[in-house]
Amino acid sequence: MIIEVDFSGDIPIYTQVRDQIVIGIASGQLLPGEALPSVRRLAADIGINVHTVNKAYAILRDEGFVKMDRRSGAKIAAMTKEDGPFAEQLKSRLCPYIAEAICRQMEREDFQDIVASLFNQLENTGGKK
Amino acid sequence: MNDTLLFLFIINLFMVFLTGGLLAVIPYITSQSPLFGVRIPANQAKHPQVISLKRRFRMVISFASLVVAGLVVVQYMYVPQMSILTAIYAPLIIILMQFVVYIPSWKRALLIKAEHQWALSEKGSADMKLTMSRQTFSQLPWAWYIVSAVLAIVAIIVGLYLYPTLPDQIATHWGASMEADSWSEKSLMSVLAMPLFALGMAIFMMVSNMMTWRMKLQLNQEDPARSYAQHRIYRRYLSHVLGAITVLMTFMFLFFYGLALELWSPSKTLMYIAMGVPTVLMIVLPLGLSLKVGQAGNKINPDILEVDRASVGLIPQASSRPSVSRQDDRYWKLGMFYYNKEDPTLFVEDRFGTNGGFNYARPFAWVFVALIFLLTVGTVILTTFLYLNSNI
Repeated sequence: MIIEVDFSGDIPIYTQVRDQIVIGIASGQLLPGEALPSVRRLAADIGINVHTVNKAYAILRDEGFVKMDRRSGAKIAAMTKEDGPFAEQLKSRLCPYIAEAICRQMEREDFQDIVASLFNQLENTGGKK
Repeated sequence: MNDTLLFLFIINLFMVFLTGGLLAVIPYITSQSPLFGVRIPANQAKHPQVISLKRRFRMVISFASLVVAGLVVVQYMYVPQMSILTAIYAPLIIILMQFVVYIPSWKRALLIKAEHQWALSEKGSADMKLTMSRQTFSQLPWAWYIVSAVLAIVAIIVGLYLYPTLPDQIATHWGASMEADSWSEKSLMSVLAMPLFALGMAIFMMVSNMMTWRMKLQLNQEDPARSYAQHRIYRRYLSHVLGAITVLMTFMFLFFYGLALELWSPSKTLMYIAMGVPTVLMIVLPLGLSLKVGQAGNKINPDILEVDRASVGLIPQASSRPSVSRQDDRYWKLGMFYYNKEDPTLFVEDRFGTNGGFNYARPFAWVFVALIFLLTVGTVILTTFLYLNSNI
């Protein structure tokens, strides 16, 4: 699984790292229990500051994607089914995108197609490996 | 004495042509890497200005090498006794000369890049599995080093066991005719020197191999999936070649060790084979490595590449502003020396070839370079001094 970071974009680098690790988990390229590289090593390989990766790992830990251990470092956590708070969050996070789609006169079906194709893409990527 | 001078002269000429020739073709064999230390987009590698810049570098280096070769000939004709000094100074002059030619080429490359506004996407990436195995050395081919170390340790035990029965004189050196030509008094040190050295060498080679794993990678950010796939292949071959060389060297050490302890006394033919085959292998293996790496693109497993590309395709694309195109050129002083305070790595893959270099923002890099510099300058000064004194 390859992590790619765009330095010139407007998305903060730690968000990019966090998002991609979540994508890696969703697509099955990072499996529960799998060890993540140390903060220092990953920072060196991507070519970013140690604190940036540290922040990304801390967010992932707070969100429950990653378990941190003093001795064995960061590991992918086993996720359980959870709807309540996440569904609420998702609503508020998706709302601006849907609003923008309506403003730009995008059809409801087209928006739903995009969602469906992303679901497929994520589920299929891991299946091949 | 005259024969020695003639021999030195031939070696000198050979060295001048070899280094000059190598330097002249470097921009061609490293076409993937940056143009004189300046990163340019991969699809611009065939741009007429790029080609003419490389050609000019080759012409100037070739011409200058010829001049140095001429100087070597003149020196041999008029002051042949100075051939030993030439042996030291000629390569130094060529390296210096390369540096002098390099700097205008680097400036010109920067200009060309600015003129065409060649922008590179400002991206960084990491392959999680590769980063992990680089961290833990989990896929290092340990077997080669374990075999070498075990052989050396067994040899030490055998030496200790046989020590009381050994003769008072131990052979320590063999000439070109495979006859022992130097002996020393029997002592624990003289008996065990060879296997101890073999053990030290195996450890040194292992640490070198580990260091090559920790080097910062230079990647083609246009297609990181392919770049990582190539790197994985390169690293696998490199590790096995280093490991195989370690075992071959251990074998050669222990072969002579056996001769010294009189464990075996093979015929001369056998001795030549025992020395010749590993020597040839040690030359052929690295050559094979560079050939393999050249073809590494064809060896990539398409399935893995596809999965990696798909995963890169899933990455949310930032709405990037037009990039400033400085990329990481600013971290490469003179296009040669990596200096980045933000970067915790000490070793980096250099931009010219497959060699490694330092991150000069780390103090240790300076200590190391200073040591090498002092050693080199010390050797040169000492040799010059000895030469001048011997004449008086």
